[in-house]
Amino acid sequence: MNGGIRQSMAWLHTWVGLLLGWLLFLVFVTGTAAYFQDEITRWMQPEVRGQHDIDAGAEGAVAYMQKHAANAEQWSIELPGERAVATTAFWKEKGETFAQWRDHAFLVDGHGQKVDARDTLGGWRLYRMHFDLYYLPVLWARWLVGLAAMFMLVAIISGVITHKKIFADFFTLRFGKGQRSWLDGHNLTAVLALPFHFMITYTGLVTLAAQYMPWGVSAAYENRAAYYADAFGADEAPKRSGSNATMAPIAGMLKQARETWHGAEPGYIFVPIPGDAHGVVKIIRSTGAGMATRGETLTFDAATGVMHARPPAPGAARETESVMIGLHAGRYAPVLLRWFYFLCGLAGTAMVATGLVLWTSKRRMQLPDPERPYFGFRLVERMNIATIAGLPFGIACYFMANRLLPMDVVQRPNWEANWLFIGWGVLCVVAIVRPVKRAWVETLSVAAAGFLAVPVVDMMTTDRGLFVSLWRGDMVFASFDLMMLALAGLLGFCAWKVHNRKDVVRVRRKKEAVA
Amino acid sequence: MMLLCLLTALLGFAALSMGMSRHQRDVLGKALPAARTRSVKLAGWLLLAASWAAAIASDGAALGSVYWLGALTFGALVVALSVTRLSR
Repeated sequence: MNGGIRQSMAWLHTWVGLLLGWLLFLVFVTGTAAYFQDEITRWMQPEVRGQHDIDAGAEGAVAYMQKHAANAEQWSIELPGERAVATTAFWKEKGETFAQWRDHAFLVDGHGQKVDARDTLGGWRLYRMHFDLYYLPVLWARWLVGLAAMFMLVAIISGVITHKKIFADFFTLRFGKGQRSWLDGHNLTAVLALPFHFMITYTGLVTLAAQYMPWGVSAAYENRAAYYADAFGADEAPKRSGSNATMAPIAGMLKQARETWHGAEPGYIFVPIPGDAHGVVKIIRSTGAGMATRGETLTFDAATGVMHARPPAPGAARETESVMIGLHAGRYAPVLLRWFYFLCGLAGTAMVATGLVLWTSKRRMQLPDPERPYFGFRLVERMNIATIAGLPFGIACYFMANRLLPMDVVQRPNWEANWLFIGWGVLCVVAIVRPVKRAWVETLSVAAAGFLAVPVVDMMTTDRGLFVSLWRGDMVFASFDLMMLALAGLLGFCAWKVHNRKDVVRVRRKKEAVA
Repeated sequence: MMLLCLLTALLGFAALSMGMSRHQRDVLGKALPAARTRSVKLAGWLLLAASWAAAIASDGAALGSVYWLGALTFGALVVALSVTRLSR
């Protein structure tokens, strides 16, 4: 490659960034939303009431399964995280696989009562989309996202090298100067949140390191099960004794767990072979209880409630991995830090979006025939509109579908997700068939209208609308609705800006005519 | 303590931006003397260090440092937008 290192890095940055930029935009948008996945889930299950109460949730779930699933093979209880209310529990009947878990899933509210909430995957769906995408086999999706993350890491490093005036331009943002402004915006959102961008990309790769770099594991272990047993502890199911025993109260075991962990909260409860005299209760520490996200598992004798010996503390490598994943997902983060994460996520989203627009902005002035750009240019231009305006609108549709789909629709959670892609697809069509500038204005306006509609629809379909929430001091619901309005305002502002922008090509024509 | 961390990060970046000739011209309308520029810059760096200290005092070295990096990004973004807004 000729030219200095800066030129070659600029080339690398441009093309690596463009190739997977659209996928990175989706990863950033859904990942940023996922920092508030518990709050999103709460908003999407308005039937769940009461306050966060782990003991009530655990007792309610156990009581329900003792009555309705006494002979199940395993009970699983996901306790509410610090910011959540609902406890999700499900059981597995003999011969079933965990893929069928939704067949026997139910929710317990903050009062310990089973509650018939609408069927939804809530914020969890957006979290999974962040690395599993949708409609694709999970393994393929993770390879794709991993590739995008690797490209992102390359783009960050090459971007820092190629951006020569990183310190001179530190606070610089010049509006209304075409390509210069896009570059400023791109640099600013990249440089100011650089610690976050680097951390999030690197640790993101670590979360799925065993999939992306399997050779170390296959060199040292005969099979993957042996590796997992070694790394995370063997998880042998207890053998059935054949005689029954009543389970000791779960509250006592939760109390012991908290004492053992110096006050850290439990997150999951597993009860293999419930009701059997050999049964055990496994309590796993909450993923949000510390920066290390892989919590310790404590095992209790189900019949007596006596705790077994504690497992050995994890080794340094495992603990490092655990902290890295914790840093990435931010589950430990208290509210202020969570907003910092969110802000950095938004900066990342803006960085990708401005980078994509910059690609076209830079080339528009050099087009041989501005009226008829070459195919590649048109493709990138349309893809940008379809992604940057289309995906946010899809997410607004996802929230609206949660409120508007009939309650008894079969596979309701999947239909909510389908509506995300229907909304997105509609804007893709608009982005392709309309003239470029009109397409930007129209798609951004539609997306703004979509977010504006979410609180309105909420107000009409539930008794937990914005004004009621504000009145009751229900900050989770109120903040969600206010965030929708803020996003509507942001997208509307962008639409208005594009609408008022002078047509670059025409201005140049006029100048040439004058000259 | 966290508020102090945020505030010092914000002030630190404000001082650093005023230590740069481009922003001196844009915001103040004139260049500061070299000695003033140097002291403003020094104050900026000291404030950023104080911000880190405040974060560590509040939440310990590990969590505090993460907070600090978040506060830095927030502070720098606010300063960048203000500088743009105040430019004449």
